[in-house]
Formats: sequence, structure tokens, C-alpha cells
Amino acid sequence: MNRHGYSLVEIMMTLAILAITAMAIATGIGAGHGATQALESEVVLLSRGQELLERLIAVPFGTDGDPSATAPELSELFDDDSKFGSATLHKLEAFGAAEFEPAAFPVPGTWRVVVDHDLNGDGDVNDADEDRPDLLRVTVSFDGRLIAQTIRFDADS
Amino acid sequence: MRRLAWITGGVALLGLVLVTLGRGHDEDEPEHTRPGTDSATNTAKTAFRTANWDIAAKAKPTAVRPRAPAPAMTRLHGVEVVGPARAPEKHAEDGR
Repeated sequence: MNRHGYSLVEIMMTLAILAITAMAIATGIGAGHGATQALESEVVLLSRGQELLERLIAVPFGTDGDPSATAPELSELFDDDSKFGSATLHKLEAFGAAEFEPAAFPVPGTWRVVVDHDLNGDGDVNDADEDRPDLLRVTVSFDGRLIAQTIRFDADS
Repeated sequence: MRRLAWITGGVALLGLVLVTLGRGHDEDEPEHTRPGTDSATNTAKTAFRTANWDIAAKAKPTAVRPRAPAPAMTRLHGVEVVGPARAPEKHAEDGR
């Protein structure tokens, strides 16, 4: 009888050890991959949010009573090129919440840009300085999550 | 001993293949193959997938076109008026 080979039990034990090891490696790789993707999405979101806020800082303040921003004005302001068009902060305030989903954006979701007089963000405009036409709050959020926010002051008024 | 090495190597290779396949979709897909981009310039062809101002613009009521007045009914269906109606008894008197 040939006794130099390996028994079925030995082979099964080897396979089990290798399977467990492979599963652990695969789980680790998967977790690392997921964490990397989440981090990439976070960086993309923060970067784009900052860019949108910079656009809203760069546009003219306008005057209280400006008409609502039109669809072409909003598209020009929030699209990918470096032209901002003729939108003003007061036009955006008159429009209300602008919601959009960029075409070539890697993270699925909806951006929401709001320009209003609610300086402290408590949901009303009855507090101090919230009736001033030279102060406007700008809020940029993504899928309900606040990304960037600032208050602009009209230095020319 | 050599056989154990072959088995171990084979299983390790199989595990490597499974792990590679399990990683799934590669996110480093070229930009020009994504929808909404121009393959020639690799720039955004359309700026937005959706935007609520476009919806608002589309939802604007269009001007109401005045409805044309219905044509006046000039004759009854199947009855042609060509002159003063003649009394039926007149026909009887003519012997028809």
C-alpha cells in the first residue's frame, strides 16, 4: 500500500485554511475599496460645493426687487464653464431654491442652492438684520446635506 | 509534498481569480464613455440631467389660443331648402 500520499482529511483541512484566508483577504480588499470610493466622493462633493459657493460670491449682489432669475440665467451660472451670465444674488433670492443635477457629475444626487434673508437659518426672517437688503445668506447643500454656507454683504449699498 | 504544493497553488490561484472578479465594476471608466459628454471634446455637452428651473419653464402655461367660432349651421342634414315650401295638396291637385 502506498503510504506516501496525503489523506482526504489533510487535503480538506488545507482547503479550509486557504478558503478562510482568501475570504479574509477579499473582505479586506472590499472594505478598502469602499472606503476609498467614499473618500473620493467626499472630496468631489466638497470641491464642487466650494466651487459653487465661489460662483455665488463672484456674481453681483443686484438690488432688492430684482426679477426672478430665468432658466437660461440659472443654467449659465451653475453649468461647467467659467461664465456666470447675468444672474445676481437678488435674482436668485427671488427664484427661491435652485435644484439641479449636473450631467457629468460622478456622485448621483441633487444640488440645492438657496439665497435668502434667513441669516441665522432658523426658518424665519424676523430676527435682527434679516430685513436688510444688503445682507443675504447663501447655502449650498447636496441631497439634504449642508456642504457650504456663507453670508454676503453688499459693500456698494 | 509536491502534490500539496500543487493543491495549495491551485486554490490560491482560484482565490485570486475570485477576488479579482468580485471587485466588480471599475470606476476608472473613461469620461468620454459616460452619458451626457461629448466624445470629441470630452466636455459636458449638456450641463444638467435635471434642473427645477427647466421644469418651471416647461410648466409655464402657454398662451390660450382663442377657439374658432363654430360654423353657423346653414342647412339641416338631408333637407335642402331651394325655395318656398309647397303644400303637399297642391301636388295632389296636379294629378301626380
